[in-house]
Amino acid sequence: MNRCGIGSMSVDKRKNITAILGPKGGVGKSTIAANLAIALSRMGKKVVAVDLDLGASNLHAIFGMRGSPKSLSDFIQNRVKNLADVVSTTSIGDLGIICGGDDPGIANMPHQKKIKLIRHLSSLNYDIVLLDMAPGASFNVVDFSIIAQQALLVTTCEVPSLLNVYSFIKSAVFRRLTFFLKHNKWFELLELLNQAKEPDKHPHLKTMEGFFSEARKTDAAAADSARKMLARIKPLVVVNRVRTDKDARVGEVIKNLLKEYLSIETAVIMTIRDDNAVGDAIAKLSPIMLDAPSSPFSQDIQEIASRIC
Amino acid sequence: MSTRVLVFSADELRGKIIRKVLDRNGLECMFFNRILETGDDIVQHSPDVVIVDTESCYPEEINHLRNICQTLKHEVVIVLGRETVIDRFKGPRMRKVLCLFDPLDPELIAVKIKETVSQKEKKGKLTGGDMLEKTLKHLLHLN
Repeated sequence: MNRCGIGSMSVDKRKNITAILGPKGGVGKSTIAANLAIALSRMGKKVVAVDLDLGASNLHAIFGMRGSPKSLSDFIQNRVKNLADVVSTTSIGDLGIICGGDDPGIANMPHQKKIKLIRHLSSLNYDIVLLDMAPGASFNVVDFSIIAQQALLVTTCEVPSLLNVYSFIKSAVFRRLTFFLKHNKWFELLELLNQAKEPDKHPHLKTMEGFFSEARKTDAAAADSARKMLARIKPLVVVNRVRTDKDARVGEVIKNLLKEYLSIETAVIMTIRDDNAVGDAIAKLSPIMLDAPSSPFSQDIQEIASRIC
Repeated sequence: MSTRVLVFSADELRGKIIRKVLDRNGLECMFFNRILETGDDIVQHSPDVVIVDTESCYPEEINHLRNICQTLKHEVVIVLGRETVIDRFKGPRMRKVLCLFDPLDPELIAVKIKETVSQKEKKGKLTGGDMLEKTLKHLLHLN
């Protein structure tokens, strides 16, 4: 069952896959992914963190690993048969890491290889598979996020980052509705949805509420069914580097926009306080959950781990 | 950050009582009894709240305080005194001020200051959020 992610794709034997997305780069996504993996592992979960920032991987560095004999490249380039064979073990509970690959061109892997990777990710024998995604909204990012049951969207309080988060969720909503309407062969509604992508030409479809209202005139049952599907989307937005109360409230602004324009009423906002200890830990190549477990950052990560578990 | 209050009263005893009670309520308070220098003191100390006590003021001083109150844009202004005098602080050109009639009740002044500052802060916070929402809507072409 797709519990609360932002995509949908038929993949057998789904595990609890959680994607950490940062539509804008440099928002602290990999640091959050690494430390969240440690927090979940300490809660007794069998966790594997996968560096899917292909071509610019750095998750291993945050874990303090200076290199790995095996990486995702070996799997993608067919040097090993199973994805499970490239999992590096750690000294932290049941936590494994799949280091990213840096082979030239790996970021643009062929579609078939991507499907194979998705299949293997879904079959990994772990309680939680944590995907550290590349920034942006490329096909790779969207496709991998679509297999996740949970998607954590990391943003900072700055306007460009907030813009990217909203746009990413909007893209995911349209993509998911498109899959849904195509799958059910509701082509008239699909046409209406395509019109909604041009709100200047079709201002009455500017909001998702407007779309559903129009869709009901064509096929009430189909519209209601699509609305139900949309109601299952529950984005988890993590506002990182929060310094003030004002910073903490930016999540509410995003929540308001999601409700008003995309009819998403279930967005959950979580915050992580700005913490100098993060920089200190990165400089020491040591995860902050180990280096400063009682720091504000570590406490906030622990709280997020409890909520997504 | 604590709330900074300036008290202007020609009546030194009333002014000091007000200051003492406000101090006790955790408000950072300064008292001045040179009414005709009110404007300079406000510029110098940038208060959050201005308390204007009209008791014992000469007509010229009342007019001066009235003019000052018309120029204050961001401060919370509380006017104290008799109803007949305070009525002169109302009118179309006069910004809304909070009026507390005699008899003097310094504890009530403290309560009103806290209430008003808290409301102002809340409004300020909402405005910040509203501004961000407006900016995002504009940049996302949602308007």
